[in-house]
Amino acid sequence: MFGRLSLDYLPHEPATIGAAVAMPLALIAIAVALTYYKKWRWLWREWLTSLDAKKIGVMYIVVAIVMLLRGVADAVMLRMQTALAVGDNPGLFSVDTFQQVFTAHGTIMIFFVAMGLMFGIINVVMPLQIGARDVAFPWLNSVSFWLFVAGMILVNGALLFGGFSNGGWLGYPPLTELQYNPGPGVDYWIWALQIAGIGSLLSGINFTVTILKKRAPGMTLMKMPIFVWSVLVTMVLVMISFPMLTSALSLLALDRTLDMHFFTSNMGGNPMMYINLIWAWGHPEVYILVLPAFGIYSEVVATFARKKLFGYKTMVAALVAIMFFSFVVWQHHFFTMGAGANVNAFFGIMTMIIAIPTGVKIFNWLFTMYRGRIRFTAPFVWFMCFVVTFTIGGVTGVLMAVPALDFQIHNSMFLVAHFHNVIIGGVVFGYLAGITYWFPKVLGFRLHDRLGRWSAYAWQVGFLLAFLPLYALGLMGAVRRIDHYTDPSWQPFFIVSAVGVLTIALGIGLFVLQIGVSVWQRKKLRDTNGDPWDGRTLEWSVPSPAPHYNFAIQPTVSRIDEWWYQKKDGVARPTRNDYKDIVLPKNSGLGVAIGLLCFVFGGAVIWHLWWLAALAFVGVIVVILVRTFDENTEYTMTAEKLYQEAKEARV
Amino acid sequence: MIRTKEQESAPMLGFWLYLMTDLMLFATVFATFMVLRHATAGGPSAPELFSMKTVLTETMILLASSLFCGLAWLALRHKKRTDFLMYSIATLLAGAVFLAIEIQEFAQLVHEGFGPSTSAFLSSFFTLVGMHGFHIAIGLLWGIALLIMFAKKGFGSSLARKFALFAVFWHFLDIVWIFIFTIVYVIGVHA
Amino acid sequence: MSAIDDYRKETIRYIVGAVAAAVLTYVVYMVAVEQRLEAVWLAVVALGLAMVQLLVQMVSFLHLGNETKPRWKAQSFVFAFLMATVIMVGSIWIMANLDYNMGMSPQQMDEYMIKQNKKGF
Repeated sequence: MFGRLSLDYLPHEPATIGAAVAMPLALIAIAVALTYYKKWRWLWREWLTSLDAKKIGVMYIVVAIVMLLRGVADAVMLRMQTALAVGDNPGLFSVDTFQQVFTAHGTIMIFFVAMGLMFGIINVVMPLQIGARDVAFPWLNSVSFWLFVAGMILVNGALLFGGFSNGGWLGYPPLTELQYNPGPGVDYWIWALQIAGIGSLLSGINFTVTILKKRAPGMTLMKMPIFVWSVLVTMVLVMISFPMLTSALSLLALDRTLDMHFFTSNMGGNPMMYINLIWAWGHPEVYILVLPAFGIYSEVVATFARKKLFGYKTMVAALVAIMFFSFVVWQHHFFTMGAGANVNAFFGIMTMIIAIPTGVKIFNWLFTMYRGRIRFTAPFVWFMCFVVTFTIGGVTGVLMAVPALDFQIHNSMFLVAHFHNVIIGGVVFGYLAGITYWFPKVLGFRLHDRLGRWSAYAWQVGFLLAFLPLYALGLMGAVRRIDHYTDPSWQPFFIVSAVGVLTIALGIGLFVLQIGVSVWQRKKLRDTNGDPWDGRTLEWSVPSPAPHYNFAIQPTVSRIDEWWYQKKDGVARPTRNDYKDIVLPKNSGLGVAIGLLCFVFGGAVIWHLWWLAALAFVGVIVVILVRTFDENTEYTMTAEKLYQEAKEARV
Repeated sequence: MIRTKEQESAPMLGFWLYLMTDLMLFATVFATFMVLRHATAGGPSAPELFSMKTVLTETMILLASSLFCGLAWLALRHKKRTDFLMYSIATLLAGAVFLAIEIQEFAQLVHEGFGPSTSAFLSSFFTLVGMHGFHIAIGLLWGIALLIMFAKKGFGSSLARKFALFAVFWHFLDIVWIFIFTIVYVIGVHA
Repeated sequence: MSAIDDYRKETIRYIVGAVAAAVLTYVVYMVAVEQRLEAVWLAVVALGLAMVQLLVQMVSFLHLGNETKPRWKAQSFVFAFLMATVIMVGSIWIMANLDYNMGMSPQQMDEYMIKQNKKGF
């Protein structure tokens, strides 16, 4: 009846108890505030059940930023530990807590911060940029988001009850097999990622169909904004690679729950196969994270340099090349596992080749800036920090692509520095630039520019302090995930690194402050004409905040940067007859229901409550059937109403 | 020429792309099976366990089911009620027989003590073939739901759209089975 | 052409496809059961015929050639199939190589290293 639930699983280390008390308290505070201000109804109607892609996008971003705070708190804990734990000093945390913290840091940052920011920004921007009113399947979009939330709750729930996995962010067996890890931590990890991963997969399908089927008339593929191209390529990567994650995690779950032997160290199982499968997903995953960020940089640099993007066609070619090559490099993550020279050489060479299209993109951005009239606003500062940081990371990546060299630096702090170099420099800076850039389109006012630039500088300086010492430490022999060391000559490096992570935390503080100050001064920062940056693409042609139907009149497109040229040429004001009735999706609470049921399903499997898991599974099928046979899911907005609203927006 | 709006609509493209993701899911499990197929850990290997005759029967039944499904869809597009009903029931019946044979095969193996926890080879066999069987089971439920819808509302544009998706799903499962037949059974037993 | 003719023609098309698929399956079955071929060649023939059957079913059941341009379904299938092949062949190659290198007994490892040393490394 109660599976393996037991009170023994309550947290009992000071660090985890603190978090386990703070999290529910924060939730209760939010609930009390919502009740006090009578906002529940508003929250449910305007946000939670909304099928408007922009609102779903904003919810993704909010969740991701909250998770960013959690992930950074983990990072601070890790670096505090390594700054202290030398020689006789055991540091702040026990070995087990330390392992849980680095696992949580990696898992949360990749799956719930980077992926969340990515899907959030795509939801907000992509339909607007292609001149569409919504995504192809609005309800599916809501389901994807709620699956993401269900995974997020599970991953945080582990901290409250049962403990986090200690198997690293990719959970390598045989350590994560039942034999060595019988507790619920690894199961939490598996099901949180599984549920969120299925959400991502559905989003991948949804956005691909949106781009292929819902572009404005006249917008051929080669006239799409470059951000949309990057999204299309990314979603293809999602569709091809996420099934491999689903599969690897499922097989591990089968090992753990049904006593199978895929990756065990006995009965013929082969742990190396898991590592092979998970990296076949894992390598495309890093491109999934970074390509939309590349798209954002392309938009930002063209807008703020006031020039058209240099080499649009080569940008597209580079994206497509990356799409192919990202699937033939995965073995470079385990050069040292024992494959022979032929295999290692093949994958090493492929890895070096993929640096070429990436380099092409860097040069295209630099040439876009050349002779442009650059405005150094916050998004542009993020972009410049990216160019510096990402280039360093790319170069160290090429170093690591040499198998012979990799044998020296594999699994060392050098590796840790390398991938933070590309992921912070490439991904995080990109999404922060994107949030700053498109913020007015969603909320109607700009973010405070100076605080934004300060935040970028703090991140940049903090980044260099935190990770350059790690390169040195890696070459000196410090392995990754180290919680204690004996060589006192390492300590200064670790202390500098800890100062760096605190500086990054300052950067995040400035970012949050920036949002607060901007809300405070929203009247002063108001975007009055819908085009605050003198933009080039269609999203700047509608008022800010964008209406929930995006476009009152379906735009038509005849060239790249359509809006820029429309502004130059001047376009006739639409008359009453240009407006037509449009059909829009009604709100639906069934997406929330699916998320809730999947959360219950995940929790039930983790705790071996099989009857509950079966009930929840049947529940999901019932909800899907209800939705499939519901024929009353849309409503019509009349041309007259659209006309009136557009007239008001102009005044 | 068979070119209908159901076939080129956004839901069809979306569903097709879902099938492509399913193809990748199967591909990874196929890869796992191929890597682990000799890892019998002292337990029985493929030639000792599988009867090729049963497998040939299963294959032919599933192929027939796929054919009936195509004919049912054809009848639906030509608005032939009797033909549609006949063929779609035949589709589901053949699918159910296929699934019954497979469950029987699984039960037999487990009964003899060669369940999925015997060895890595059997884990991957049960998972790969069982995953296909799970898809078939979902397809059967889906087909029944569509038949109920047909009984209630007859041919509507909505039935045509939904049945088109089901038909593609069903044909896809037969195509996956070709590779299970080839890799798990033909190559697994004889090569 | 009348609708009735159309219906009959398309029915025949489905049946022809199914018969072709059945014949291909039976040929593979006979080749396997009769054991006329060496293991490697059996695998090659079986996979080759499976590919033929894949094409037969794709065309006759899923009508893959009949899409209007742009042919997203055909393109996505070709790409997904290519990637699936890359993943399967790559995994088998990598894992076989790992087995070869890591599955040696200590004596075999010694012999292997001596052989490598003689090559001048």
